[in-house]
Amino acid sequence: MKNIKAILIAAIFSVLSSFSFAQGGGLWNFQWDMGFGTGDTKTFVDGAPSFRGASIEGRSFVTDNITLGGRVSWNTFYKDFGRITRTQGTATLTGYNKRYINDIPILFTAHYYFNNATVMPYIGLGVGTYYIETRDQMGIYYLEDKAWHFGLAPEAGVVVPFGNSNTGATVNFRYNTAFKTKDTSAQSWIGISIGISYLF
Amino acid sequence: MKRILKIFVAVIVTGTIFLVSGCYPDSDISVSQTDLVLTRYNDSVDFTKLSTYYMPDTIFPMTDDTSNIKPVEYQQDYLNEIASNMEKMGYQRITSNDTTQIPDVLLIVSAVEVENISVGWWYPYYPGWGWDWYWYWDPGWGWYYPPYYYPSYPYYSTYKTGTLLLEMMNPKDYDVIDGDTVMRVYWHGALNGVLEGSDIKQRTIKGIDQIFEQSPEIKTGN
Repeated sequence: MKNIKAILIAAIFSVLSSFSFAQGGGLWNFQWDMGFGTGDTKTFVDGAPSFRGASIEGRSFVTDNITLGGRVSWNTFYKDFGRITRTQGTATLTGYNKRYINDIPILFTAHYYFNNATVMPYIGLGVGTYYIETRDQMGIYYLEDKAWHFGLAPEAGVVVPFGNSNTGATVNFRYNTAFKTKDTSAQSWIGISIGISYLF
Repeated sequence: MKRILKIFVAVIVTGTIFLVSGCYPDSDISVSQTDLVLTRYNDSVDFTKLSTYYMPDTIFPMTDDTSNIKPVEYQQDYLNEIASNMEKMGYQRITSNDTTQIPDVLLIVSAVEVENISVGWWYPYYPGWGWDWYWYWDPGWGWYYPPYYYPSYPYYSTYKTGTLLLEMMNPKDYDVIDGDTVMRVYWHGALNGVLEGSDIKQRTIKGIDQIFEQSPEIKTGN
């Protein structure tokens, strides 16, 4: 089993290394994403954090300190409320409630690096679209909203290469804001990503 | 190159499974968790002034098949439970055929049964791996499993849902709409759930109790 993992990782990195000849340097991040809701997101799932998430990010250096790139990620927020009773006007509904938020941000990113040597701290901004599905399930029925939101994600993070190798660890924090649409409310959460960076 | 292709396919298949199952974790629910109770009252009615009601001794089955005259199973138990709850709410049941005694409200109980069809796709998963979050986070990048991918196969299943409907109306309070006399509904309660398992009777009785528990507004002044 361990061999299969090693082969898979080696194969993925060998594919990625082929890009390094075509571009003027950059990095790839493969990350586990966690989310901590704020605002309406927090209210909807009653503060339940998300540990289901992943992201892939590519960045390319345009100057010594600045990269431009893109990021695609996914997070699921979920809360099992159990059997609840909710009232709206003169109507009252009792049932087993589960709520979900699935978000898929697709962002263009720009980053500035304070130090291009061994440890690379950076700040950045993502701008793009957030595809968000919210589902409010009672029994076998659910209400679902699906929308493409415009959104922003300021972030700060660091890449720490492993010795002299071109792989490293990455940690970053970002504040995701998906602005409200005509029919759906704004969603926002603090994202923490931990993963592997591959520098080329 | 072949290996890369295999990895690519594995990643795509795994990704698809995430999108189908991972996005809605734990979305399966037990039969009793399907039970829903919905009640609604008419806020222009002063329930404290009501006192008597009439309820037929039959639960009306509402079905497309009019030749089906099979009574609702356990109907007497359900009607007894409703009557006992109505009594707690302060209503007095009129059971006689004495037409001079007109009840303040009618309580009609009916049942609807609906056949539902569910179609979807099963994704067989790698044995030994559950759908918990750690499945796709493993420090060794375990989430590229399964190393072999399996074809998905479709499933088709049918299930029945049932609704027990209670409607409270006043025979003296009606509107005439297009020549039809339509009684105003003062209050209604509905219990909906999947009709499966051995505890349908127990679930229904619990649901009837919930209907009244969440309707304190209909209490009379008695």
